[in-house]
Amino acid sequence: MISVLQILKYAAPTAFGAIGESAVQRAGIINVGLEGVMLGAAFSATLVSSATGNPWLGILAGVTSGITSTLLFGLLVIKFKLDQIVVGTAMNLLTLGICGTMFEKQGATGKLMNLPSIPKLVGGIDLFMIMLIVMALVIGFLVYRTPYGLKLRAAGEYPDAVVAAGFNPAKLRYQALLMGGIMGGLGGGYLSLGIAQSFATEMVAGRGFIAIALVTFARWRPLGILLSALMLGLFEVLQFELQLSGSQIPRSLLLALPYVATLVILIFVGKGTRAPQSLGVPLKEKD
Amino acid sequence: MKQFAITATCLIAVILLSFLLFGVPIGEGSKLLLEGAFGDSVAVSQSLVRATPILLTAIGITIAWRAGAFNIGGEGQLLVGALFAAGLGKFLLNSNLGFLGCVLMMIAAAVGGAIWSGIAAVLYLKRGVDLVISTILLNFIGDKLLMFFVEGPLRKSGQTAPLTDQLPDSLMLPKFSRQSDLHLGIFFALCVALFAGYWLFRTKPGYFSRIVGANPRFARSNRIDAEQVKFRSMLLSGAVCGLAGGIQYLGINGQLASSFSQQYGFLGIPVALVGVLNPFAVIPSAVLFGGLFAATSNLSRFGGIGSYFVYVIQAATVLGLLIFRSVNDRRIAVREEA
Repeated sequence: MISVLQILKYAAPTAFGAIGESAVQRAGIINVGLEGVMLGAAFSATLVSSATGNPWLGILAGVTSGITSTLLFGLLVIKFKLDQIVVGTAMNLLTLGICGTMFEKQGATGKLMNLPSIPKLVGGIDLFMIMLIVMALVIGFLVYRTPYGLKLRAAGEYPDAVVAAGFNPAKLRYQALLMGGIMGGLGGGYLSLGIAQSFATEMVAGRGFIAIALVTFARWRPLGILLSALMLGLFEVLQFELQLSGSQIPRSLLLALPYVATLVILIFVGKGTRAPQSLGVPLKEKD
Repeated sequence: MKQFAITATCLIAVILLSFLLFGVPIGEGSKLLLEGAFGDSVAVSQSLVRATPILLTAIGITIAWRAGAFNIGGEGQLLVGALFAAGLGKFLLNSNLGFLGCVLMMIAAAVGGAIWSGIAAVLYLKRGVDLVISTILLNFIGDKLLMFFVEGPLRKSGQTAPLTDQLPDSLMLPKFSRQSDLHLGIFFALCVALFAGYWLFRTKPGYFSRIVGANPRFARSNRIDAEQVKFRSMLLSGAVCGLAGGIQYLGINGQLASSFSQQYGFLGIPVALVGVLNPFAVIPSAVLFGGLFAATSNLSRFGGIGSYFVYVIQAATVLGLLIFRSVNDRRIAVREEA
């Protein structure tokens, strides 16, 4: 039977990533490197929790790794003003390379295959699930209901206005990336520690990219993202169930389901979405 | 010349740094790298073999990005291109078409790629779906589609492994010599690159493309239909990326598995940017990255380092070169202001 909890579990990594990305995009940056952020976090979490036997330290490592990746990304696109999509793609490759190389060196021992699990609260709910809902509310409130959020969104709409008001759009963009890093780190960490309890180089499997698509179709709203992620989680669980029940539908088509669903929804949402005006546009020299 | 020297120094620094990080002995490692990329004629041809698909996807990306259509679906277009070629290949298996068959399959590959990028282009034009997002999704859908066909309709009959039929040598792109894998594909890739350069910089549609990319408002005020131009660029871009898949299939594999691509489609993006979105400059850029592929695969064969290492070096190279260029540009700007 498919339970709500199971759906939430499979939706969580994508939802974490996407909610962080929504704040990042609101501040005017598109981080296509989210896939890599999550992979790096999943790997760091695996390494640390298997070395220390403590899942909490593992999560901390995942978050640290997430922040490191997004801030490095920020340095390249904000300070050096490199193209965001190119840097994102390169960061994905870089993380894949680093994690793959390190994993091949150590993974052979099989030590990383058995991780301490995250303690469960009542009825199979774990801390991550609660954190996800709390963070969706917090980030939603912060970005859309506070003066600080107004500044942050302005940095993504019209950075000149932010400068004119006496604030620093570059700083705001770094802060958004910090949120993105924390969330991406939680998503990646949950993937390896919470769901798989092991690590594989291809384990993120496009969740980072799906997260980016989710941001667009939920119109940059964290709660909307949470709901759409749950819907995709349903597809993912459905796919597992169908595979287990030995259905005749080929595995590949079931695997394609979440991506097709996302695309179809985007077609319906279509022109209704309005992206932040300065999304992907670097700041001017003097900002 | 000075530029070149600094760039080369950057590159060497990046590689040595990656060695240090992953505990590869520097002397041994550099020797293996150099031998892998330029050691002998086999190594050089191996570099060119690796450069072929990268050059094509990078040219595809260049065509789209020049028109401001941010196609990041090179990977999916490459896969679908290869799939179309293999689909046609199944019918041609017992024919005696020879090279003509090859040409037909390459056309099929280009059509496949164009269809795949065309989906994104239509969704953009009709429904305003952002190209970055839709091409990302189509990458994954393309990947699963390949998996479906390799495991299902295109699987070699009477075999359980998910592989398509092996093309006979007569239907594959001819090789230059028996010792190396270097095939006619490099020639086609160079032709496409040169033609793309000519098209972009010396023809009217190419000029329109560049205008739309540089300043869509200026284009519109001159009655150039920006959306139409982007649409055309997307189709061309997809066709070239699809061709990359077809040529890789016809030149090297002759057979498809679901693990067909090695990120060539994604790699096309940084390679195009390192080549400043100019097809003539993309050629050396692609050769450089092909060389890095050949070099690191030599390293992973003999140096005890995994096959993922190549991505570290390539990504670090891209970032290093782009940072260098950005800093340099700014220095020039400051000097001019003074």
